[in-house]
Amino acid sequence: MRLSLRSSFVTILFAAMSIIALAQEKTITGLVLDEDGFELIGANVIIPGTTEGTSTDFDGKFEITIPADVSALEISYIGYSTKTIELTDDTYYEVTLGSSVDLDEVVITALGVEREEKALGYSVQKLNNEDIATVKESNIVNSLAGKVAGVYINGSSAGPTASANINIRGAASLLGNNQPLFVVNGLPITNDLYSFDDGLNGSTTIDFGNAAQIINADDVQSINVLKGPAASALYGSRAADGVILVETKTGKNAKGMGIEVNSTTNFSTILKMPDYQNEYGFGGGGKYSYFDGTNYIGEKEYYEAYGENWGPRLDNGTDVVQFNSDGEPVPYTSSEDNIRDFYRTGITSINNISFNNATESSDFRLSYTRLDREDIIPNTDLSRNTFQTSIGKRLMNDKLSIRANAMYINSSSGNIPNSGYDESSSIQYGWLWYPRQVHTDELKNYWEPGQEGVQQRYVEDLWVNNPWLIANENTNSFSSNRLIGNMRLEYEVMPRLSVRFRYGADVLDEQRAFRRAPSTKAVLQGSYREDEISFTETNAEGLISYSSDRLTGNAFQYDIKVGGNIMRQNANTLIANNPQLKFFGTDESIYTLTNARAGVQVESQKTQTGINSLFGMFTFSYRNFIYLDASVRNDWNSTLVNPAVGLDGSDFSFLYPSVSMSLIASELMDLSADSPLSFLKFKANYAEVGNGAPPYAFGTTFSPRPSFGGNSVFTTNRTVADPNLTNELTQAYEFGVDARLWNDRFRIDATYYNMLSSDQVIQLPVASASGYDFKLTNGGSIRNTGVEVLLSAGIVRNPNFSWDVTLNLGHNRAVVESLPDIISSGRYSIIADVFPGDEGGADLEFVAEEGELFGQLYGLGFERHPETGEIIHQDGLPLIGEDKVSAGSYQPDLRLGLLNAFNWKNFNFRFLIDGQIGGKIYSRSHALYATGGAITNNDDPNLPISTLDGRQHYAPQYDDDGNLTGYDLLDAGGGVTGPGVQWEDLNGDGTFYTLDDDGNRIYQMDEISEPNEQSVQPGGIGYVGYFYQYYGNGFNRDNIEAATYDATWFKLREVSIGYNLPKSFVEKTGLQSARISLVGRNLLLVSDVPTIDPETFSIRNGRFVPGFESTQIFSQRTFGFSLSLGI
Amino acid sequence: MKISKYIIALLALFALIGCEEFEEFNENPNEPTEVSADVLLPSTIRQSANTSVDAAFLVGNNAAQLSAKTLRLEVDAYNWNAFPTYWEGWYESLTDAHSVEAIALENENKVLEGVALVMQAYLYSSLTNAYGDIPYSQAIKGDEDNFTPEYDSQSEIYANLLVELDSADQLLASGNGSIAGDILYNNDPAQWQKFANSLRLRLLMYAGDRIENVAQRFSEIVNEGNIMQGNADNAALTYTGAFPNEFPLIPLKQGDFDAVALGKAAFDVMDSYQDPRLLRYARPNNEDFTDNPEFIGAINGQGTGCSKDGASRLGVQYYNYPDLTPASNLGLPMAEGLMMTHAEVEFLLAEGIAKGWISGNIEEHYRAGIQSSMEYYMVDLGPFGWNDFDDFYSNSGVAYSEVKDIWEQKWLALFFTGLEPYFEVRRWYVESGKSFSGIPFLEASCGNTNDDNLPLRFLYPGEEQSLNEANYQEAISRLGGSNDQNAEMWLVQ
Repeated sequence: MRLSLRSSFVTILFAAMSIIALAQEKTITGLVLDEDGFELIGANVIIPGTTEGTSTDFDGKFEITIPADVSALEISYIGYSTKTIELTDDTYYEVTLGSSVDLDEVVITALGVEREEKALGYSVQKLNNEDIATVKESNIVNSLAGKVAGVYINGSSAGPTASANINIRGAASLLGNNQPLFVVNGLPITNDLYSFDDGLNGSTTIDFGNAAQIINADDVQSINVLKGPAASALYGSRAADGVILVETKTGKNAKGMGIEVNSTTNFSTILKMPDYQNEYGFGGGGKYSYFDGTNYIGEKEYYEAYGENWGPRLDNGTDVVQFNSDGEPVPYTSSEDNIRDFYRTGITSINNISFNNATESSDFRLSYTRLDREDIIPNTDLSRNTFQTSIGKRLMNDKLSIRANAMYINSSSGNIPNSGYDESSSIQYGWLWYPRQVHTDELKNYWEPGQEGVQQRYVEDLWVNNPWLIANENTNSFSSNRLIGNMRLEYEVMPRLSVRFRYGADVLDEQRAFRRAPSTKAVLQGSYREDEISFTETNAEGLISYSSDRLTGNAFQYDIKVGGNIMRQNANTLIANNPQLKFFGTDESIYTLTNARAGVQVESQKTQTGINSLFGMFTFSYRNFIYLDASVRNDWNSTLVNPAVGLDGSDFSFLYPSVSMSLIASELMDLSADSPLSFLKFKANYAEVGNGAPPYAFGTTFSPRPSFGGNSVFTTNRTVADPNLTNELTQAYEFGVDARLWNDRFRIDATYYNMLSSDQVIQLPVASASGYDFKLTNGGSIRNTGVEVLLSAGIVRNPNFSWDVTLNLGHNRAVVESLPDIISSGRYSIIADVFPGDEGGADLEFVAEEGELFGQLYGLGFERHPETGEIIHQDGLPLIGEDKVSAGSYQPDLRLGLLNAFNWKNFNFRFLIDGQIGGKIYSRSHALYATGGAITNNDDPNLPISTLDGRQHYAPQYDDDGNLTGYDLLDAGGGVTGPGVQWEDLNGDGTFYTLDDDGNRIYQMDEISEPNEQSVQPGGIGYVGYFYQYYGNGFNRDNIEAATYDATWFKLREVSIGYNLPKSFVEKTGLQSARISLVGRNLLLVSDVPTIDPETFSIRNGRFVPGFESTQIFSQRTFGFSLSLGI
Repeated sequence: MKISKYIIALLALFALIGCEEFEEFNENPNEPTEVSADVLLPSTIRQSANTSVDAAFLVGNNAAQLSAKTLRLEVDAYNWNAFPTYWEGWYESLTDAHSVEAIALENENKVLEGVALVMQAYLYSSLTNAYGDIPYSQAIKGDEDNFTPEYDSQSEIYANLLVELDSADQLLASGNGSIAGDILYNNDPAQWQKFANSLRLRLLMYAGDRIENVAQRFSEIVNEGNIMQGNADNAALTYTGAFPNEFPLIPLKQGDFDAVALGKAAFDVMDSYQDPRLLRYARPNNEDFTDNPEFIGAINGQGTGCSKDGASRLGVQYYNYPDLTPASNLGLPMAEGLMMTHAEVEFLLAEGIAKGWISGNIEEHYRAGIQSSMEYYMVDLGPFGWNDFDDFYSNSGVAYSEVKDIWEQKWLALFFTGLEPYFEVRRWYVESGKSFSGIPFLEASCGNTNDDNLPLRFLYPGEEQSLNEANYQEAISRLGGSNDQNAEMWLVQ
């Protein structure tokens, strides 16, 4: 019915237009109301496509005189959906604006084009300032967690600058980090990690953070997340993993001069700690006595530097000589919160002041933010100054508009903690081997008396450093300056034809300094290193837009944009390392490059890349219910130019198209007023995106190495080049539906997507017998398929009380479809050795396996009964197989965020629950803590055995001079009995299986049929025992199965309670507005993963390695308050 | 629309002109694509020496019970794995050694080619001795797109290495070309020649009768006489004493260094002779270097009855303890990176005579081997009550009486010479009918998990399983189907 009405309406309109074409002007009057029938004051009424118009008066009425050929008016009001009315012969219109913000929400799309969300055939989700700035984080990326469907964010607890790993719709690339492109005010900025090397044993080391974290929440107007290639294709190859578009605030909407002040103070405490045991102390085999700190077994069995907690029973009336008892036996007592007490309450304060002003033709905003953070580890901090300004000006009768944005950020820290398996500066490493009976306060004086600056003081001398020495002396500091600036010129050449030029620069300059004090274990001479990092990216973009004449009221409308971009990137790093100090002491001057025992080693790395691009976009719409977009982009990428053959011989140009469609089906349907369905849209798209290669991928080179005496040294680079390297290609399609019910109170927006990324540029590991470790080549493909669902409901909507619920769901499967043929095993080790440096162990690997989910966690596994899966034991110890097995992939089955927002009068209350279901996490910490006997293991879902069970323990005996004479056995210890079966070699062939011709195992079932009944010591006798064997072979924690857990977790991510002070009260104080809030982040964690917070990752060689945890810094909960004032 | 056409044309021009500089952009400013051999030679030498030290410290000395592990006892307990760092380290050194060879060939520098071949032979022989069949003829061909090199049989590798060393000998003698950047022999081709020929003797001794005409080959090399004549000819890298060119154990944590101590088997033998090298191999427990040093040897192995009642730390040249006497106080240099010493050559000659491969006086070479080793370690005879070497030799009981004395003294002299202590013990173990019973000074490690059998090889590393699977599987099938530490390679068959 409605359809036919509309088409006849169009016919009449065309007819009418030809009749009234003679008239010059007409006057229209009207009334603008909200859904409840109240008049809207100050609503805008304009001629579409222009800025000409009027606004409603105090009665919600308007009157406007317009050219006779104008066929429509656009009515808009902040917080309401914009409506376009088509004009008939009538001169009076009553317009009702819906309060649904969502329906016609304007989002920002590629190239900064503002579009109504309903018109998009692809997925863009928008967050406003209050979504990210209410509960602030020093890394803004973490503020997106749980708020956008299909966006997977994993934070970590690695200190005040900890990185956040963000993936949109999974992992498209085997090489690199799969991070989206960050675009600020239309121009890309760097989000690189700048993490150059591993600490000892690799894993996450000192995390200076992802570079985009400096974006200041108080300055953000909105964040638009462009999901999938169709949305981001116009940003080219760098946007293969999606785009995060950040728009900063301007003074545009200011009403005259205004000042805003925001102040937040947060406190942080530990969210999750290992379940430390307090029943047994330091030592081995139930024995311990202090002699001089250097015997881990020794003639007299002191076990004083055993480094583990398999010692005597605590609080048992036993007297023991200890490191700080001057050779006297003293009670051996527990110190329950010894580790917790080392930490302090972290404090973060963020203070922001901004000035706004707007006149008829210009506006400006200037803002300053100061962030100070003291982290929970003593002597770790972060401070950041952010200046942000935006100036806009319109000239030449509004035909020319100019805007300049600039952001200057100065950040620094005196010490960023190390969260790696690295004794030289990781406090967390030390806790693995820390005595349960020693309070950390006992160690606060960390120098040996009289040897300040020369020799540290600790409970033992062989392995671990004093945590206070690490915190106070072995610092990792940085200072960085960043300028992100851009300017935009837009000129209306003639109606509907405009030209835009934008230029932007992102300039980063950072210095880092690393100190290691003399006597640091493994750095006995101390060391000092400085890194200098500079990065510059510039973009110059030109764009010409031409659009059809909206005013004609034509059902067909179109929009054409054509442009080009020139991107240049320069990155330089300089590392100078003084590996051994010449002079020692506590003087500041010892930490210099010149105080060197021998030569200072210098490494430098320069890279220069460029991408030139041309692109075009065509948008077509028909009567606001069909929207069709098509785009094409061509990139010329310098990284694909092979300098050996030159430009002509290189294949460095690639072109990719996209097409998308949005169909507003509800416009076609006859929706009666009482129909539950109020809006229905279908979308579909197809897109391709190419991707370049790392710079200098062509040519096999020789790498400089530290010289030997007077001899310069180079070594053959371990990566061999592929002269035929070409670009990666992602092809993607998606379709979705957006349905809204009961006047938009309920919404379901669901999207299915399918992306195939092929010709992956990979660092293919090759057999080292080939002379190389890697070949940089193309090969392999990953398919990401997934579903994103956004559900929202306005459960209660009363003038005084409302309750809104939003649920974001994301399900993504990244499957490795193929790998290069050269990998006959079907397995590609993305990280071949996640924890390098472990002597002799079989390595744990992060693997891409053909036909399997991307990111398999590989290592050794248990020998298991072929039918029941029970672990096979020999002599009471679990047997580990020789071949590596997968413990599954890190990829969660579902990532979700549930937001509840309540408004009651001047109060509002929001809380966000964020979490993931499924996925695997390997906990290095748990494996190490358990083998060292420091935790109870009572919370381990994989192994129902406590480290406290069945231990033997002794009381040391002393003569009158306090010399150890022997040990009294107090308890022989019953040992522990591992669950599973026992192998008995009945036929004496030394194995419990034989191999058939195909290499399949034929088990001798009678030999493995009996349950294991043999007890063994849990650990600590000569470094054997149940826990040693369970996690690997003795010292090698190379069993992936033992410490890999279902990573399912939920966090009470954000809570805020805000109160807007009543206007009457506020105005008396001379303010315009005032708001106070109580805020909290990460207040609760629910997970079955023992010991650690499963929301974590490792970093190796500048790459995120999800699914692996190592010596994580304890995660934090944060709570505090904030105050916002408008003056 | 006209305007936009102009601008599109302009932009296109802009983009294309801009690309001209891309060629320059993508030229690597950080690393050269061509270098001269004098910068690659120190790389392969330094890394080879470092690998040798590490392998000796963690595996070679302990498997031969010269030292004993007190922590992480897998090696001593005969629960072996792939020790992948050695596989990777040796092949990595080989890449540079092959690059040196390629440059030498290009420049027709025959002497340098000879040096490259010697380094290659040293590295490949270490690899095959440890693992058995290995990628050899197709190895280091990644630049020719061969990333899955086939494994050659050990017998062929041995045959080839001997040919290569023979030709290295001739190339080095040719006087055609020169060496630069040689941190091992200071650019002296004559010394490389001696290393090459001494290495041939070593390989022939390992191979024994498995190789045709072994006696004749051995005697030809000896008769030419171009072998190591004294400690000045040692293949030993003298470190500079500053990181990263210091003895590789110096940067270790004390706990990691203390994880290896003097072995009880070595201690017992040396103690019975009052061998002055004790004061070099180990640090006296009483810190007494001049009078009456006390030592304890640690039992190799773990479990009941294997308890380590204390153990002497390794010698002063190997580590700097913050509070203990440093080597410099004794006038001693820090340790070198040993690949082969003159003492070993003397023992090779002695055993060659004993085997009837050459003629001569066994005792003369036996005694020379001991003396050379003592000189190398700059021993101090006083604390052990000896006047001079003659006194020690004649009166300690060390004097030659039977062939197995050669084994014993060679065993002691091979301390810290890479994996050679293990390779030699394995040879004697095999010559004794795969039993320790024929080795008077050794028995199987205490509480071992391998039925008192000495492991015969290192496992192939996991990377071969995943990156070179087909060839790996074929190599495994030649080993009897299992990547096993007890599987028998050609050398021990």
